[in-house]
Amino acid sequence: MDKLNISHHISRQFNEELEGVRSQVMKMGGLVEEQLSQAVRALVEMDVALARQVVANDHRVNALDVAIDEECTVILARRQPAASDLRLVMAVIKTITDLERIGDEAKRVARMVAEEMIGTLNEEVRQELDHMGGLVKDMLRQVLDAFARMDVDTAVEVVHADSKVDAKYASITRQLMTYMAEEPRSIPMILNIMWAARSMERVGDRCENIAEYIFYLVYGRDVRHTNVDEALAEVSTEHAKPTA
Amino acid sequence: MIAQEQLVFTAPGAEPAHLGLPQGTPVAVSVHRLNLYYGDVQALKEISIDIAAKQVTAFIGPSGCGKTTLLRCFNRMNDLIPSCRTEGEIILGGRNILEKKIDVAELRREVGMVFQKPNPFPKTIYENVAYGLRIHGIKRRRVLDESVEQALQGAALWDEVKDRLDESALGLSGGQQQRLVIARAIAVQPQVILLDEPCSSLDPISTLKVEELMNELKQQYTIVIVTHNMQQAARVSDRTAFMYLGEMIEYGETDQLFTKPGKKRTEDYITGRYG
Repeated sequence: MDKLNISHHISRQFNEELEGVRSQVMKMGGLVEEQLSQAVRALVEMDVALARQVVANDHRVNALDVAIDEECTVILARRQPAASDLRLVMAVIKTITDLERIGDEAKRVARMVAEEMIGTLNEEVRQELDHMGGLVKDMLRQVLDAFARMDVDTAVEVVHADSKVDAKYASITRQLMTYMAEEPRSIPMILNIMWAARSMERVGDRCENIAEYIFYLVYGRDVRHTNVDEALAEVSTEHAKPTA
Repeated sequence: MIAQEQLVFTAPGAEPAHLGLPQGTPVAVSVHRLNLYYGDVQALKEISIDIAAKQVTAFIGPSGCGKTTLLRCFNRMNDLIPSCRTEGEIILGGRNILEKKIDVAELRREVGMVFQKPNPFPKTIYENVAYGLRIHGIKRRRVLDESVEQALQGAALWDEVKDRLDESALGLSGGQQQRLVIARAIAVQPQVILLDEPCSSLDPISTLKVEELMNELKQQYTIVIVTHNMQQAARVSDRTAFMYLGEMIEYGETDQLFTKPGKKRTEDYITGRYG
């Protein structure tokens, strides 16, 4: 869907450039989604081979980050975009940074998976990690969907979803601390799990950032460090979207 | 940042909103329900807008939208077009400058104008700047010398021409000529300077010099510029007005207008979309 009328420029070449950048972001998003999904699976199944694959594939995410950044720089230099076009380019530049970091977090989760860890994960923790992984995967999928459709309502849902991830992270941390107290010898392993959970929690934060960029892109309003619900209520009454 | 809504004071009745300024901003020129006709063709429709004092205001819009026509109203240049007729009022210095009894020569001293193509007189650099002063009866050489130097300094041209003031102005480059014309305009100490596409015949470096000059001049003068170059409007102006088919579509802070325009038509124009 072309909510921002990207394809309505007099310059067809500009249409193609913006469209190109947007589809590159979607491609990068798809790749990061796959990385995250495989990292979570590698963790909960203690699949060392899969984890190595995730680590090895991270460079593909990085390469896309660099390529899209370059394209945006060229657009700024050649087109001097204004208004929604400018907001799109700015939102893309920021979004790819967060996507790249999500890729890094996926790699970090995968790095925690090692031969000596096999068998240390008890069923309860495994399920909790699986559940948390599911939450952040959903957030990422949802926020990419919102980006593709320029859908602010979905973006706002993503912002809300982050609190569930934070709560889950807190409960996993408590659980792991109990295990540490009970079994001091397995503290190194448990710390690894803790790091993996921490990385997943960061993924949720990154998704929230992207959701905020979408809000800015559509309404021209920066909602970082503000209450997103109030902002949404205000823009809905304000008709901040360009009117005829 | 002030919300767009606060800047628009809706006048009673169905007439278009008066495009005002944030409260407390000094107003240099206030236009009320201005209509302008060339014969049967209406070129300006119910324009109501306040121009902020000592700021740069840019008028943008496609060719034929009326931006130059509006600019030319501010010093009655349209008087030169026989079929031109106006309604409404433009308040400048406490009086309606559209009234017949207004001394147009005096008005044009208060409201200087610089055109698209530099138009120095075929005289020396010195005489070009002194011209307006002589017309206003200043004869004493010392006063003239001082004023010419001040104006050339003000137009950021003094250092380039101080050793050849008695050479022909036509020997200057296009960019220098344009700054000379600006010096000529400011020599008579106007309140408002109108610039009608002042850089469209200049190279990019000369353009930047003129733009830099505008930034200096706004300390003392109110500047209104018409430009086709939207990046230029974005660079130099504090406030921007977008016009379309003789109507004022949107008027607001330049920062806001170029990142988050309030009207779809403005958005389409500044982003190069077909509306």
